[in-house]
Amino acid sequence: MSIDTLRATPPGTSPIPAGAIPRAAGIGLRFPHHRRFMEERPGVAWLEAHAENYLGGGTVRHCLDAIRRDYPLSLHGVGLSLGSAEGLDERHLQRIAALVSEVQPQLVSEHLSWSVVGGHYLADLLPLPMTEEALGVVCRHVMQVQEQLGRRILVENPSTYVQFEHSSIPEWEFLAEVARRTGCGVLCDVNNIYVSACNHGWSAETYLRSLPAAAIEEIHLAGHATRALDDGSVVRIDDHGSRVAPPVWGLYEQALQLYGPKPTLIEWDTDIPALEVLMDEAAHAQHLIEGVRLDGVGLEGGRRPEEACHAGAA
Amino acid sequence: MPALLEVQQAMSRCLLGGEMPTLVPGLDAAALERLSIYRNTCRSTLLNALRLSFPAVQRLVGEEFFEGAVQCFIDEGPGGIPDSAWLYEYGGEFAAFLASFPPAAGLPYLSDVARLEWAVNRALHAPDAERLDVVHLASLIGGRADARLIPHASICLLSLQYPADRIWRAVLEEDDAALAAVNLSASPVRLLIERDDTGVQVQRLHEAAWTLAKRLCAGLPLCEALDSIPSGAGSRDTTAALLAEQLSARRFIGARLPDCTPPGDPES
Repeated sequence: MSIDTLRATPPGTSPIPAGAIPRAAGIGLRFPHHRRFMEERPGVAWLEAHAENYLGGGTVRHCLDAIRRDYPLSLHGVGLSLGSAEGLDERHLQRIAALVSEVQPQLVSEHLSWSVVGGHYLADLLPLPMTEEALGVVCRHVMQVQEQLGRRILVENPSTYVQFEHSSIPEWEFLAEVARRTGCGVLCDVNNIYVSACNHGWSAETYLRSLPAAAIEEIHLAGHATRALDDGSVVRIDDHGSRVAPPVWGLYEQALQLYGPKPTLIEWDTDIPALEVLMDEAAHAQHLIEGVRLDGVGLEGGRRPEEACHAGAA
Repeated sequence: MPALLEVQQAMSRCLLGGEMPTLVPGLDAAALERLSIYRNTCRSTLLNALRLSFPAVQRLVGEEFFEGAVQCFIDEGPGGIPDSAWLYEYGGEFAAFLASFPPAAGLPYLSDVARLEWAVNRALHAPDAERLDVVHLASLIGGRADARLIPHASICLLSLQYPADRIWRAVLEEDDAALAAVNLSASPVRLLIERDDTGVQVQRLHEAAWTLAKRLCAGLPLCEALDSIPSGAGSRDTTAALLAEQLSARRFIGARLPDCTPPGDPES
């Protein structure tokens, strides 16, 4: 016996603003600020929301839908686990695809990391060995996600605390190659570059100069913490729990010089402060963006990589 | 060279196992302390997820006890490790874990409070769907006794030994007088938890209404759902009134009707 299913059709969706994310400073949308955005519509150029926070229904989702009507929006995933050796979690990918289809964000992004093995979600963005095998895995999954979503995604460079001995590809080359093979964009997290460069003795400038400028569609900024380990070494931890550190602002200025004005996001996830603090950080980023605009840098999407190299060496 | 899967499996043991293991392929001993940063992030993210879902349980046992219980839950499960990045789905087995967690044996009502909080959590985040009014629902059912109703995903029916709803409210409202007035030896409570337009509702139902709602939400055909409802009086009028009450409460989003000749059946 077969069963006919009779369902009510969902209520109609309201119009959603189109157009690109502005090349301006935005902030990460977090639960403690939902009410402010709902009631006051504070003047922020654009917002980014963690996709995994909005996969259900109810009040939280209603807030996102309402906010979406008034702000350009980026959806930032933390759980697709692009680097999982065992393949993507299809059910999770379908949920993300449904959210993207309903919310129609201007940008969708994920991380160059992994979080899932053996069907277990390990609740952190974990480091990948930079090997040909991992490169193949990540590229296959980026293409699978782009196909399922029917759109290009951005992939963000991670912050890492360990390096694998068998890594054979510098992280910046790995990420550039993912973008080249899959056509994905790059989300350049300047704080992550600074954190990883300090932790591993890399040159942050080399990292910035080696990324494909034309593929960079967004920049992330956040605060990090510093911790002394028992072995006497110091590790920087990407905890998103403070204002952007002065050297990271310096690196961001270099990024703007190399890439031109880009949509730039202030992230804050630990001990989330008043919205004014985030808006203050965004205002500083905006000030730096205006600076490169006046310089005429990147008016056609950033300098070409070879010019950037030259500028960096000068 | 270690395979990617081998590395990921070793890191999983490192992050979630009760003890820090000695080796992850490709990492030397000096990396172990740095691996603990990932371990701390992973475990504190899971702890925070459960704090958000079980605020009354946490207040009943205190922060330190709660954290210790969560660490044991993560290590011993079952269900202690999430199976997806949608963390609202994480914690469904926490109530059962608490029920058999020896250090919590002194609080026999704790797991009932956890079951209620889990139902509230699910109701908060259940997918949206239009709730049908009785007229719309009646038109879908078309008078057929074999129709099965589809409940709104937020609905949960719980039968609990302890008055967890009173404890839960008193704890969250920090109402010590109400908490002191809770009678732990009262008869079991039957609860219906759902999300309506104003938020999550937790209400007590009497046995007959609860049983009918439970059967309807389980998708039993109407005729079976209405069979031998333990209403005491047991009259048809009482049963009909109970059904009318359920249908008019906008708890359902659709109906299924058996159909012997589905469209497109080659033999039809």
